[in-house]
Amino acid sequence: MKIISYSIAVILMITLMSGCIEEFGGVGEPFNRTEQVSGTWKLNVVQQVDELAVERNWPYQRLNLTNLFPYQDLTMTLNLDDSGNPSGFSVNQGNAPAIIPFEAGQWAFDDQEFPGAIIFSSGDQSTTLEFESLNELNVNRLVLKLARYQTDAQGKKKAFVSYNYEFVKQLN
Amino acid sequence: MKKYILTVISFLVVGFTYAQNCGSATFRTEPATFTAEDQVTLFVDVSGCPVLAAKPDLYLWIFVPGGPGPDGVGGNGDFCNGSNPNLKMTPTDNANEYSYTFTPVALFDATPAEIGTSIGFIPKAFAACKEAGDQTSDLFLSVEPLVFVEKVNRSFPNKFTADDVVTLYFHQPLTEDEGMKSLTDVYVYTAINGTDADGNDLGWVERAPWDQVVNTPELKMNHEGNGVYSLHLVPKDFYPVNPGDKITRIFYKFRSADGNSAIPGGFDNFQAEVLNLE
Repeated sequence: MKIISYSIAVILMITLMSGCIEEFGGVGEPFNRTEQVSGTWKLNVVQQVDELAVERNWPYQRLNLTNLFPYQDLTMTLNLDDSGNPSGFSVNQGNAPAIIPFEAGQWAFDDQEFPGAIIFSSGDQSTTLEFESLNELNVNRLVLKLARYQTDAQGKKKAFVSYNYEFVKQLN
Repeated sequence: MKKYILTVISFLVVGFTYAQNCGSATFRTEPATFTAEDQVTLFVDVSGCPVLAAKPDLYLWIFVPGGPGPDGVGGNGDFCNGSNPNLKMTPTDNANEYSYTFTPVALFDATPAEIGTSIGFIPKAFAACKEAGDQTSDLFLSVEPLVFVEKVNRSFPNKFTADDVVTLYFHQPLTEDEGMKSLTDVYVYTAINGTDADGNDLGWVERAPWDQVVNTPELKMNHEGNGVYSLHLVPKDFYPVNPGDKITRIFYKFRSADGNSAIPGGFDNFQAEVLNLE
């Protein structure tokens, strides 16, 4: 009797598990972040953060800059080479303040497998913009953060100001 | 009119002072940033100041703008007749470089709140005022504040570079000046100093001369409501500087359109450091 009960339980479990797989599908292919990041992006929202005020819990920590300067003029195109790898980029700044100190160059991830930032470079200059959230790429939004750092009295590197840039993908 | 004349005279004095003093001393601190409670070493290089470089000893004249002098070591001494020996600087291994180590709360015998966010200093000969170039112009160090104090002026963010968006705020309810209290149109007179690509002093670089402020729409502040006025700028784009110039400090003064009303006093408490990152 016991053997029959166990057998029924095992059969039920297998049936339920296979049901789950059929219903929800597998984990599927990983997102191709390079492909998701490539394309033309329009700057939509800019937030400035006073990191010193945040650290010290002072008032006046954030300022929305979007409408204070013509940031929404700015578009950025990230290209891929023939093999689908990151290659050149260009920024059409319009009248917006610069967010990258050069208008064209090369782009790359800091880590191709687990990207945490995009590195923009031109000659011996480079600027790193960190990903605020990779998930936003799935809905055609690119959210990057630029932070400026200084070393404090204890020798620690600390951000004193940062910017959050939210881009929207320009779909053809 | 009287205020206008006084203001013009004060700018002329600033220009005259630049002409008489050596403005080419360069300086740094270790650590680069510090609070009033941290020990800090100030390094001054007077290679660009031949008169000071030729002196056997260099002395520090140090003060908190609008606040105490170095009471913790017995004061600065007499500027023209002899500095306090406790403020003698130490030569380093580098030619024409001198250092002085201090902790602000101890040196000034003052609290962090009394010291605030700025320390002024002048590297000088023991007894200055004897010849042109035996002292520098006023130089300033930024002190990291430990507490937030609401004031009539504020810059956002607290620290910035010439590439950052900077917002200057005027909190009208906090002003004690009767003329400024009732203004509805507020303007800013502003200037910077710094060095060019060769390290030469840029002097006093105005966004617009005092008498042209009202004709410069970019200098009119926005009223955000509740008596808070703001002006947004990116230093490297806002001031007439050349590529390669380094802006080291912003000075500003809130005023009326005609200039008859203005925040009284000089720029001691109306200035902000511009960081130049390596």
